[in-house]
Amino acid sequence: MAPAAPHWRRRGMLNRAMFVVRIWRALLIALLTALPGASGAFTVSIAAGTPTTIYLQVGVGTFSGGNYNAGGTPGNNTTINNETVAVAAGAVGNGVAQAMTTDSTAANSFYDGFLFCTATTQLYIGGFYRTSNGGGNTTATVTATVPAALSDGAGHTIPFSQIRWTSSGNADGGAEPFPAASFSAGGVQTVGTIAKNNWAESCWTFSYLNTTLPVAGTYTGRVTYTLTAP
Amino acid sequence: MRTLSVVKAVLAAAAVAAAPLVCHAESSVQTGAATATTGATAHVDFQITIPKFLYLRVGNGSAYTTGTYAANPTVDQITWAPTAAQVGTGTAIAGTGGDLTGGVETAAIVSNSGNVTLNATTSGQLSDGAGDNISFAQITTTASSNTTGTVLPAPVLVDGATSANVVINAPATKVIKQDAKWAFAYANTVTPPAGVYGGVNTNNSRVTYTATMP
Repeated sequence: MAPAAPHWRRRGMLNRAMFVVRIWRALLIALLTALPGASGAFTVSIAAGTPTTIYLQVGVGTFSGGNYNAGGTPGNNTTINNETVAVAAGAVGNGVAQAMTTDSTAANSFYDGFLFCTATTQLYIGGFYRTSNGGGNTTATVTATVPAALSDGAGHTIPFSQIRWTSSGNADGGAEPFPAASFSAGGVQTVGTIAKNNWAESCWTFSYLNTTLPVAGTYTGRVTYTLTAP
Repeated sequence: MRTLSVVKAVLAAAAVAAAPLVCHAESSVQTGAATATTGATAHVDFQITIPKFLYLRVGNGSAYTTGTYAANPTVDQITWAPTAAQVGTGTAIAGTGGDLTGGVETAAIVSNSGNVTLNATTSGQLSDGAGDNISFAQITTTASSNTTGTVLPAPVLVDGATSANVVINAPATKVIKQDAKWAFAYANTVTPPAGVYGGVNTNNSRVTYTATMP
């Protein structure tokens, strides 16, 4: 898979390439955020191609043969990452949101290796949607299928609506492709989009709203994210 | 060289076309029709650990009604000073003091792990330090509604022992949030020798309330 260099990037020698890319990424963000109406979040055009291909990564992922912009190939990674919090006894149900942490070690973008997220506090979400140039402007959608509640396995639950997230990324600014939100319990919600022939990514920081008084216990639940092309 | 390049391209295309249609992973790639039907999926597991906690308030304390469950070392004092004409008449006398004044204290239990047992312990009868005593049976506690629908019952004070347990039964949710206004009164059915009985943590004045949860 051979991506085209975005129009604002230039290839250099191998050792300089990463440094040049990081500088360009930071400068681009600074420039875009200075322009009225511009979005500084990280999305980048990639070369069109067939067959239609989509790649979604939430947490750790796999790329072989280098990063995308160096011709690397996306792969499947079966590691399911966790977001956890242990509420202190004196804080249960006090309405102060409790920060969650992750065991995901994904910090660098597989697009260009840029250090994008802070591991253990931020969860990486990103991917690409590549297709032919024909067919007009289309957009791939990322949805989250959310259970109604986390459960302790003994009949007690905490609604998934008690979990929310913020969205950012190193050197990002403006609207994120995967913006901040909170879960809609027991449903399917759109959490972001990737425009045709684009790579898009964000870093999520989760928190537990802590506005209820649950029974003591450990509550778990799994969210499924799905990227679908039109 | 050219032939080898063509073969390589064909093999790569074949590998992509042979990619699985169903993929559940934390990064996943899909091609062709599967990009619209199955899509690429990833999962995240969420876990929230809630500890056991038990909060008891009698008198001054934290704002439990707004979720603040903090320790407060303040020990309130309830006092009575009947007039000479009132002593021993049998007419109960309301106390002075308490966080709600007039001898009334806020009492609350908040917990999240099932039934709670509440009792009260004294170290003896109220004493004047000169050998004279007033039994704690002369101190009554009347519970009335505060902020919760269910009124938290008060233990009956006994002399030099732990009272009978008051069991607060938890609902199916196992979460208890009960409070009350506890009004302390002096029954005034005896005529003790003149003197000051009890005090500030002296002469058996202190009552210790204890809540426990399995």
